[in-house]
Amino acid sequence: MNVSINWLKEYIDLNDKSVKEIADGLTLAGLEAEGFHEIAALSNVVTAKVINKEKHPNADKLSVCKVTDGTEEYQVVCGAPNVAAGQIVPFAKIGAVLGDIKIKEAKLRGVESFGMICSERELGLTDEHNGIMVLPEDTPLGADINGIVGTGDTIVEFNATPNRPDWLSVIGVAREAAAVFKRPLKLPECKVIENNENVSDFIKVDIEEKAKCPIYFARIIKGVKIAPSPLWMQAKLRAAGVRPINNIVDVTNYVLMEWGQPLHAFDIRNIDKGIIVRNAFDNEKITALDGKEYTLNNDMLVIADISKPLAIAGVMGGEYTSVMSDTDTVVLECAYFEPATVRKTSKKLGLSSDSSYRYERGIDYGATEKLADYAASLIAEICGGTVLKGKAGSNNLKIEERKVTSSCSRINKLLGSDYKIEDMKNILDSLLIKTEIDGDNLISSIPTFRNDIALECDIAEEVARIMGYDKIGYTMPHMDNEIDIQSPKVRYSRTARNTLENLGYNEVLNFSFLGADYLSIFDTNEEHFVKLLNPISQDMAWMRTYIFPSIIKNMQTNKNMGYSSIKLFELSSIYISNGKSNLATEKLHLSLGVMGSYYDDTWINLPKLDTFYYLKGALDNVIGKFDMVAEYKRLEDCHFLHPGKSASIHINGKYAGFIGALHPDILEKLDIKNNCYIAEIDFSLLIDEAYNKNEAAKSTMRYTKFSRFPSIQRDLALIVKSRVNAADLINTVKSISPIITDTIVFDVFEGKPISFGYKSIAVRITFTDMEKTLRDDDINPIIDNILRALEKEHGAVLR
Amino acid sequence: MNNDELKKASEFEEEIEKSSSLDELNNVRIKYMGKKGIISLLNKVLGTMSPEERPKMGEAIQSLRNNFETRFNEKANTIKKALKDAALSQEYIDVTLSPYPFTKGSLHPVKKIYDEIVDVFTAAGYSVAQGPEIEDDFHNFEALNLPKTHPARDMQDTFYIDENNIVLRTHTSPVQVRVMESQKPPIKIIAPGTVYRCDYDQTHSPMFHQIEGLVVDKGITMADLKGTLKLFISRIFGDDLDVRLRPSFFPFTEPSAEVDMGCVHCRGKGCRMCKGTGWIEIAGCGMVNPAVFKHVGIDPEVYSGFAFGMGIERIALLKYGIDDIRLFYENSLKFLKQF
Repeated sequence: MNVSINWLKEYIDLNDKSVKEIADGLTLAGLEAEGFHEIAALSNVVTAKVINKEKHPNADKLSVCKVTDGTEEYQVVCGAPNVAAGQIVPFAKIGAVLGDIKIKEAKLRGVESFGMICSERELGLTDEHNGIMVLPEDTPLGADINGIVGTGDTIVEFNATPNRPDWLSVIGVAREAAAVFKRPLKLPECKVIENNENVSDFIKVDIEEKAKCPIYFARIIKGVKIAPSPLWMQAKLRAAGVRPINNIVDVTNYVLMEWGQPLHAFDIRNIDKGIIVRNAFDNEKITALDGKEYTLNNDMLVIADISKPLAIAGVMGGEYTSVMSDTDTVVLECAYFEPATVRKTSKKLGLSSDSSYRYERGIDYGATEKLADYAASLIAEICGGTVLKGKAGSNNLKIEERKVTSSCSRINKLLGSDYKIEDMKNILDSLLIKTEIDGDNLISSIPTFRNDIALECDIAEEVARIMGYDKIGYTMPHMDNEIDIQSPKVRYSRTARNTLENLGYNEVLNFSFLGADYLSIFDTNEEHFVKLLNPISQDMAWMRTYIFPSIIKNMQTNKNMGYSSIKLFELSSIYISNGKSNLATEKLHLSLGVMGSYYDDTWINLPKLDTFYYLKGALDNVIGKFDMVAEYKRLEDCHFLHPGKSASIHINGKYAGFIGALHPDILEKLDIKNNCYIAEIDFSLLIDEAYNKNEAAKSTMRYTKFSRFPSIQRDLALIVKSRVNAADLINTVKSISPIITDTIVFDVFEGKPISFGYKSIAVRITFTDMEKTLRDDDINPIIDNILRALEKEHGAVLR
Repeated sequence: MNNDELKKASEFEEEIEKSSSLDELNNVRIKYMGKKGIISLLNKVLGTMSPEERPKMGEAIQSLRNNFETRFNEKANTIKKALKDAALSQEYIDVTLSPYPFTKGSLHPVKKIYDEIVDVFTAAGYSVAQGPEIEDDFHNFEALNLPKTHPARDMQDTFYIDENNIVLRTHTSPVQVRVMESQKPPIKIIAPGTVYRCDYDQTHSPMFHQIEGLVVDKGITMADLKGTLKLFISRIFGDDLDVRLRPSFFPFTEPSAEVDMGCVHCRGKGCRMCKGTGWIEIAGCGMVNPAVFKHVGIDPEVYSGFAFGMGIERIALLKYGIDDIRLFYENSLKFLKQF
């Protein structure tokens, strides 16, 4: 809501307050001043008449004008297309300062110019700059422009919260200011002088939908003369951000901005018999004042005559019945439409207006009838004509001030304050909420413009905000709540992230949505996806079912920025659809990605390992943090992973994710020139398994007895086929005897002298006995058994 | 035995002193102490002496021997130490070379602030609650006193999954509802999480993070809310910043307020960042609206509570002086590695 401070001051004496003081006072009462637009007072700008206009001899788009301020004539070069002889215009004389422009004598293409004819923008009024501002014909010449067009004002942009539609008018803001600054309010009178013709002889109003339209009044003003509205009214409308159109429309907009009551004026010539307030027919069409055709349905309310819709109720009038230049008699609508209906209609049509904005928030229906009189008399005053006797239509709403009872002690208890009941009453009274004291109780009569107040807490807020929130102290809640240990999700997430940070990974954070095309590369089951109905763009349309597609993008971006070693991770939610009308399954996933070399360039000769093993090490480190062990199984059928370099991950025998190099086909498709490794695990599963093992079982956790005797080790170098998995060999070894306490692979070798298709794999077996120090005699038979088993199960022979 | 022999036997001192290596030193030992060494041979002379002379001479020889050992060991140690020093002086590495690359990575700045805020509140006895990001209309709006026809719904641009019922949650407030549905007072939780709004520019991200706080018990006051927020702001931004509550509107709280804190840039003096006001908006808050309590079956006659919510990105922007929210989601290593 844009409010002209000059206009505001017509209703409340604030001359001793600066604009900042006024804005701050209202802001701290909840009506936030969000912006200021100062329309500077101008000097050396006067009204003048264009007496002559000729084409510029050297420029097509310029003209040379003679203007007079009544005493002197000036030659001016003007570039505006709309300048014409006979116009009254704002004229900036030599020495005037308009924003950054200082008016000086000038020569434009060889013709001397002594001033400037101004546009609205040049005067600082609006952004309008299509031509010069043309003033009404009866404007006196040579007058100081400041008293004419509204310069020398500040427009404050207030943010009226949705609960306070009463702040959407200048008088509403003035009412608030009266309470904040504790000053009296001066409101205009609503008196109407009527002639002796009865409205009912000209028009009837039939309200079919009284629930959707509880109040509808029509007044008739006859003999109006359409013309531009007076400059003072135009200035106020411009300040409020409304473009002046003609005197009738301007009066309706003026009352809208002054009081917050939407009005609409119809030309009576286009109304067939009477007005009907009814539901629209399905597929009924109307062309609105914005020139667009709208298709209505049965849920929407229209103002109609017997043959056609005249207006979309509360939203916008129809083009056909609008006021024309030759309109003589207008029907003025002043109504109250039910908020939800207007809101639904406005949403469905995608059409909103100053009227619908106020109706859907709720107007002061207590003032509707009175304002029909006020607006009608203003039309008669501004546009000429006489107001017919009476009003057509009716009020079907019982208008009364609701009572809300609140308790002083309870309010103080809620606020943590110690306010006196009399002070509370005075505040409420100053807000026009008339309040009686009854013991500890406050009995308040709520005015019709304050539909936001219904409960004690609403009264508490009124008291608190006018008293000032700064008057409330600072305390801490005293409670006997049990303090939980932090949830495993929070703790485990933090541990995993800190671990990966220490392992050299950079944490990324990506949007949960990506493009359908891109996501489908990795997850081909469309039913998995949760899809947005109104995405910002097509590449943010579907919710992720994996994290790694985002990480791949991040790695590519950073690669293109020149990074040669990229290690990223993200721990975030993924979403699996359960049908679009249901909540989705949300799980935490942890994803890691490596592109380029694993480490930054270094002077150190690092072992040349397949990146797979680094990534697997990082992942094992994280999983190991929770005392869990991951099992890796060869994965050959995952379409986005390299068939020879990928594994599925299992925790406690449950599938938990995968790790591997991206499939060359995918690399090609995504135009990735570097090797790219990814891993993704179901972190929610890891949390559950780890929690069950480590925390749920806390009370039964016991240490394992260990041997006091030294262990001994034996190395075996084996020849096996290349595709034999190390883990399988180890499992076989371990199964042979309980005194085998550890088995590791300490060397793997392929190539000469080993025959093609075979590899040498060396294992180190550790033997430990609980009872004694082992000797060769104890070990040798076991070694024999191991070798037999390895040969039988894996075709392994000693090298 | 004559003095010449003893004198000759005493010459080892000079020879030990002159030795420059362990080998030379050993040769001296052999020369004097070996089987046919000069000192060893003195024993044979001893046998030829009279019983009267013998003890005296014996003592002299023993003293000679002891002296030899002492001198020998001293010199041996000196030589060994010199050798060790020489060897050590050869062992040299460039300690300024880069280490084995156990290089630290980084945590995302938004998550860092997220952790920091969670820590502040958990230290004050708050539990962490979480809820779904894909939320139903009831929890995201209806139960928070935001019926479908309410214009306050326009305050948040919503992503819809299903026109009527399923949305991406627009705030973390539905977690309040879910907690109160399942838990009776006293309640003291924070709900950090990801939220979504259909808006994308320099200051708006379609996905961002919020932290919601909810405290419900008997006798909770608005002064408690102010105290809590002041504590929070002093923990995150420092003790010297003022806190101000400004009346505002949220359907789920009444009274409601916006929380302003002294500008982190000019410390409240007024600058471009705070548009000269000295204040920066940091959170929304208020006393839980009885309508919300009714939706979850908590008696507003018995209990009261406060709630607050704030954007984590906004706090990160302020704290790190970042001017474009989109930087958080570009994931450029040039940016990430700074944290």
